[in-house]
Amino acid sequence: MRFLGIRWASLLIVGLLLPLPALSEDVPATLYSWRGSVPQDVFDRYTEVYGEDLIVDSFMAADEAEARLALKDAPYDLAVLPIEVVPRLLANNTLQPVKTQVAALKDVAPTLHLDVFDALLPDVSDYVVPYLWGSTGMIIDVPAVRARLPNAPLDSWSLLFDSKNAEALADCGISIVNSSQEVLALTLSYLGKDPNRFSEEALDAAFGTLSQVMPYVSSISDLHYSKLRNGEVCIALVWSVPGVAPKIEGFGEQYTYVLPKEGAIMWSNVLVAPRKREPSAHLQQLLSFVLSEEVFERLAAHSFASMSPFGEDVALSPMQHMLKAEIFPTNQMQRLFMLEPLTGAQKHDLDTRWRRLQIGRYQ
Amino acid sequence: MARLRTTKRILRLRSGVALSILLVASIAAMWIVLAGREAVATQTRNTTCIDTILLSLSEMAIALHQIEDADNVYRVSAFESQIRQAVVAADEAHTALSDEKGVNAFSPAAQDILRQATFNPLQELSEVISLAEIVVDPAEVDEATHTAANLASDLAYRLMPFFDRIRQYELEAAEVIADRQVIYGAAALLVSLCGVVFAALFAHLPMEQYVLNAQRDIERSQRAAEAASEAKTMFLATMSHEIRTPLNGVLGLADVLSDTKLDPDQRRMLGMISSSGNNLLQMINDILDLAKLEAGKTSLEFVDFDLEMVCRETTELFSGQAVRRNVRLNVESAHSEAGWYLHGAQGAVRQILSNLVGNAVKFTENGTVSVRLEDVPGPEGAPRFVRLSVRDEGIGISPDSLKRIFDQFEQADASTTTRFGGTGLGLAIVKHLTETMNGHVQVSSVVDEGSEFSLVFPVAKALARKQASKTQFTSTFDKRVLVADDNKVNQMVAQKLLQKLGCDVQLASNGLEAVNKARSWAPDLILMDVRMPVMDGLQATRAIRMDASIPGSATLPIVGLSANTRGEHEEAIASVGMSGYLHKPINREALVAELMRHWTTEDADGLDPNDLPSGLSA
Repeated sequence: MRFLGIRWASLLIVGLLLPLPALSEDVPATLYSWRGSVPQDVFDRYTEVYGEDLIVDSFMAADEAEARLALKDAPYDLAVLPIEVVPRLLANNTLQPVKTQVAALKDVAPTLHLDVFDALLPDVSDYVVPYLWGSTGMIIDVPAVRARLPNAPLDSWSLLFDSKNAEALADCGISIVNSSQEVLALTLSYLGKDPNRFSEEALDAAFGTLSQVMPYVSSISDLHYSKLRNGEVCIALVWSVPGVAPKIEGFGEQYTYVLPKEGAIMWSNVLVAPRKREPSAHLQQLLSFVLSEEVFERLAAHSFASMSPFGEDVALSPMQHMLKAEIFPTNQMQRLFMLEPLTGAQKHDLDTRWRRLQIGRYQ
Repeated sequence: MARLRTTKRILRLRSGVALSILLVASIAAMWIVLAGREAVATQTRNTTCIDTILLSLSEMAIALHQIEDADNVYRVSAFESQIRQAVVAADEAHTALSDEKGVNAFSPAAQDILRQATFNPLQELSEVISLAEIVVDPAEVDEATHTAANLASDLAYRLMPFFDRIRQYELEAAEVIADRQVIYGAAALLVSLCGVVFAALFAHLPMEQYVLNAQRDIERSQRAAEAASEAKTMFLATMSHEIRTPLNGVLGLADVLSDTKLDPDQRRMLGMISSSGNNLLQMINDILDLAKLEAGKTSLEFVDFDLEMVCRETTELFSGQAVRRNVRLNVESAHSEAGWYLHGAQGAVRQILSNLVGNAVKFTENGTVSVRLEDVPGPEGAPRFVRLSVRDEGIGISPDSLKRIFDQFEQADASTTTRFGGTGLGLAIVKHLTETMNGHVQVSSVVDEGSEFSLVFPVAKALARKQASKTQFTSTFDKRVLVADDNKVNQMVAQKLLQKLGCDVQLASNGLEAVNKARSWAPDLILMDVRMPVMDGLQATRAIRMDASIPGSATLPIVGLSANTRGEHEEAIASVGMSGYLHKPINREALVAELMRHWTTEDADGLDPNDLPSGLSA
């Protein structure tokens, strides 16, 4: 009898999904962003400025956001996404151009580099507003690692991708971020291959390497901040967001965030506007609010992300200066590369392999 | 006719166009119904398929999520069972959608989603199914099962909005199709209405006008035909009068001449003159009678009469002819409870019988002609019908000729006319007269054995009792008779006949003379021609009746004379106060009968009975 409940619950879910009412003018401005990326005072500030509520819907993984935004008429006025996802969403025609709408905001957001993607990703530059920047590197519990691998270089992915090292570190906790393209790109970097060339051979090599270390990986997770906070890992492939947190917040002095010499990722989250049947009434207002100097910096500081990785910008706050130094160490900048977009089919193939890897069925 | 043919062609064309429009509308309506049915069936299949996927995904998502927290093997087993069922249903739906045909059946918006490159729902569904199958695979270790369940559950949750959106698009497409069906249906209805309006405006109404015009043409033609018939009748009547007037003279003078002393050759030639004249007169009468019958202008005079007596009298008229052809005439009547004194069209019966007996005698040689009279039994309450049959033992009629024996100018064959003479109008008159009496005539015949003509007609009971016939006796009249006629021959005929009857005769050539003679000479009786120059007989009669200076002007017998058939002047004659009527050419028998009607037996003196016509004898 208990399991009949599943059917009823399923019907309820389907029933709740079915109406999906169209957004009306009365619906408040809605932002779609990473979970925990918008502090309460920003909500309050929005209400204070505009006299309206701000709704923030959140996601735990970029794939989740991609899936949500891959469907037209997503109920958001503005969304935060990794830049490499945008071309695939454009292939589904689910985004609308926003660049012309933010051109007038130059004065509002002086640190904004609107033209940063013009040459790099010309096809998507009209659809994105550069937002937050960060890196994907390795955080190490130096004492723990040294205790187990006294001679191992601490600035190399070999600490993680060499199965012998992984085996040695398994007892103190190894964690990998749940982001298939980033992990594969970094694995290829470790293997000395082009991190953006996902040929069959390259994939086989990368997954071969990963499958050897997977038995020693304690978690593939999006929740590294708590793991670091609790001292559950001694080495992790992480985004800079949790990677710089111990330093910024002053906990876990044993942790060091490094950009390995084989290569690390410079990622960019951008603002996009989902395409809707009716033009968004809040888009312009929400963009103005998010990109305003005060709010922009607050959001970046809260996410431990950089507002800009480019050059010396005197306009940056001390907090931004500190974050930029930790996320993009000046002496390691040459190790950074950006991910190139994958097609939908490539991404599907990659994800399928990634899931098989996680359940130990990759051969 | 050219106009009518053109109209007919155009009407047919327009009717064809109207019918084509209606046919197109009907076919379109049928197509709409069939297309709508197919569209509904397709939408139902699609929606059912998507519903199955949605339900399976939600079942899997919940079960996969709960299986991670299952605290004992029984619950895990139950969740696995649930997942297996959902996997089977999802897999079947996925298979149905996997080929291009399955995707093509969806609306364009739904197809966009089903074919989208990023996060393709079908590919992801396949992945969910695959992961779920790993979860329920008994060979898998717990850790892999949990990870797979977690991954499958996440993916299933992400996937559901896509299929839900597809479902929405399908429902919207169904609404669009339904609306389109209504529009198409309305269009088909509009086309039908156009067809109806077209048919009404360009086919029905013109057709109605066409029929009305045709009807008017027919009525116009009918009136023209009636006018032509009227003119023909008038022409025949006029010609009849014009021919009979001199013929009256010929026959009358022949009659007078026969009373003079002649040698045998002269008497034989005079007989031939009379015979030829009578034949000619009969022919003229037949033509005139037929014309009147066809024009429907014949009104029968119904009187009380002795039918058996009429049969005998009429048959007797042919006795002389019968003797010459060695034919025995036989009249027999069956016993009748009601008797043969009855009410009917005596004149018509006499004419019919005269034609039939005349024919029978003419076509029979050395045989018998039998006239038989009998009642025709009928149901109780029905009118009384009698059958009058004339049977001969003559040459008979062939079966082919029998079919047209009653047609005008038809005889059994061409040789008949040559051999026996006649106009071929007699039997046509018989048929017309019989039908005018509401009776019918039929004939049966065997070639070389004879023929039998039978007519059956209704009669009524006599209105008055039969009076005993008065015995007439012959005499001469010592009376003064004024003869008023513009035709000198007719004057002479009448004068000679009257003088032979002992009358003193004076003549007048017009009505005015007749009035003056009536005043000056005081005649006992006037024979007054109806049509005369200066003053016609009707005016003259009216003048005499109103002239008090004429002795007994109100009661003076004035007998009208006319070459027209009886009845044509009858009403006019009665209205001006004429006392009687004689048909020209006057024959002695009719004249004597008319005189005796006006004068008592005392007025007659010593007339030779042999001079009286046989029909007047008892």
